[in-house]
Amino acid sequence: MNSTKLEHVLRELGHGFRRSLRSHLAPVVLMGIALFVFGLFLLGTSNLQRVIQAAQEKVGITVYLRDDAGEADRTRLTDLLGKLGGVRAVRYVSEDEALENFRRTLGGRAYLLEGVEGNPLPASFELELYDDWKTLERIRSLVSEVEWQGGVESVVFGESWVGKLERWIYFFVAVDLFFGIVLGVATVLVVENTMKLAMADRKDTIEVLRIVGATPGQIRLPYLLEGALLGLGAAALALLLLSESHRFASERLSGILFLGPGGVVLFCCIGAGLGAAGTLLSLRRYMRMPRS
Amino acid sequence: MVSLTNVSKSYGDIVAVQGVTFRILRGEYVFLIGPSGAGKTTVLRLIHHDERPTSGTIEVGEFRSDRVRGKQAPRLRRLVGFVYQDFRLIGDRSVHENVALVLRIVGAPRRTIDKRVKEVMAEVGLLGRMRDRASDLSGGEMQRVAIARALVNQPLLLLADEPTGNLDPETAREIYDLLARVNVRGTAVLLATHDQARAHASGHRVLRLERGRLAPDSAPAEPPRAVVRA
Repeated sequence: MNSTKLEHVLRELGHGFRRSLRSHLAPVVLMGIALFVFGLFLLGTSNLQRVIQAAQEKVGITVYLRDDAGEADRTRLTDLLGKLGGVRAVRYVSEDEALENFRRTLGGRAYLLEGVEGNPLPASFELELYDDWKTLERIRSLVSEVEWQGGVESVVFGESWVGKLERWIYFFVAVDLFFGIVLGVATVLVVENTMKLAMADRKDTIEVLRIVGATPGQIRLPYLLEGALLGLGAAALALLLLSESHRFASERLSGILFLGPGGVVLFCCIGAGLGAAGTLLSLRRYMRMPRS
Repeated sequence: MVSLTNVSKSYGDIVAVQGVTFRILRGEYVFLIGPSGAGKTTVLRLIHHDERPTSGTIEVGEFRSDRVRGKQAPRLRRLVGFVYQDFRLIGDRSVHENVALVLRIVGAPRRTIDKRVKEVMAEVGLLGRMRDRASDLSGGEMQRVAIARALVNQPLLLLADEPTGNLDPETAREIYDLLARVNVRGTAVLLATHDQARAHASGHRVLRLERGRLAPDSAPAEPPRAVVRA
């Protein structure tokens, strides 16, 4: 593209914006609202994922040792448990450490232990699992490999709440996916129809460009850029609304995260992309090809 | 330069043009006459590649209608200027911008654009109106600007579809005089009109369309003759 052709693109882009700034306000506001709703969904999803991740981190297996388990059992079990598929790390907790942990858990009621003779708590191994092993089925398979080993008293993993967590995760993922698709489609439709309205008063200009021999690319490019810029404006408006919503929610609930720098850039790219795509779709009706 | 060979165009069951054959040589001035609905506009649109013929071939310069692919159509249109009854200018832009549009699209250098725009605007007699908005001009002035835009890229052929249809008789005469001067300078002209009297009085070749067919008294081609250049 030489400088004159580039100048043509920029001139057409400039004409598009100069034509009527007011006529650009409606598309930006409408797309901004659609992106804001979609953004709320994205924020909700990312925060929900964080909650799920935090809950999943608590999923692990505790292997309690028999009182008569000796050093040899301990060494053998350390080696065996570390080699199990799905186990990321193994930590030995002695009886003394267990008692100390329990005392800390009791906090202000630690005086209750003063009447207890000796140490009733067993030593144990805390097994940290890989994320993809934190399912009920896989945990049960690990437990069945460990519980019959010599020196093992019992194996505990909070079976009931792990099962519940798994069901909730499936439910949230399904609902999340459903709303994601519905909102995504709705956003695209809003953008397309908004850009269709914005392009409606350009059909005469497009016709003139076609008459004088502009290529489809020369006709489309300035409008695509215009659509992308409008989409970017809409994304900026949506981010402003999301930021205010986040501030409002953070004053009432703790730990709610906003989009990071990468998320903001991605959101702007989504806005620009949707604006350009909506323009491309709405231009089709004006870019007719000769028929036989 | 431009030749139509047995060209037909149908829209479903409606036959707009049938078996049309004629040639236009460099520098010729040809009238295409006929009543409304005879197919005049369809013939012009076929030459301009706004429509593809259902059968037959159209040659415009190096282009043949059956071989023109999507990307080549714009290049063909740059060889053919088109003037419409409703002018088809971009109203909210200046006269200069409207006329220069073609040259910007083909990537002409800025100096060439300015020079050439001034030349054609002088030719149509509107050199002093270049900065005005197109929508601020009178009908006759807008048609002159449309002619200037059609000429600025030095096309092989100028197509004019009822160019005086929206103008008063005096302004219409001025436009016809302008087109005659354009032709004398060497641009071939194919002008579609229902004004048969003017066509026959002009002394130029006349093609008559009746219900999509060329009438028997039409001359499909004239032998080449010298064109007097001003």
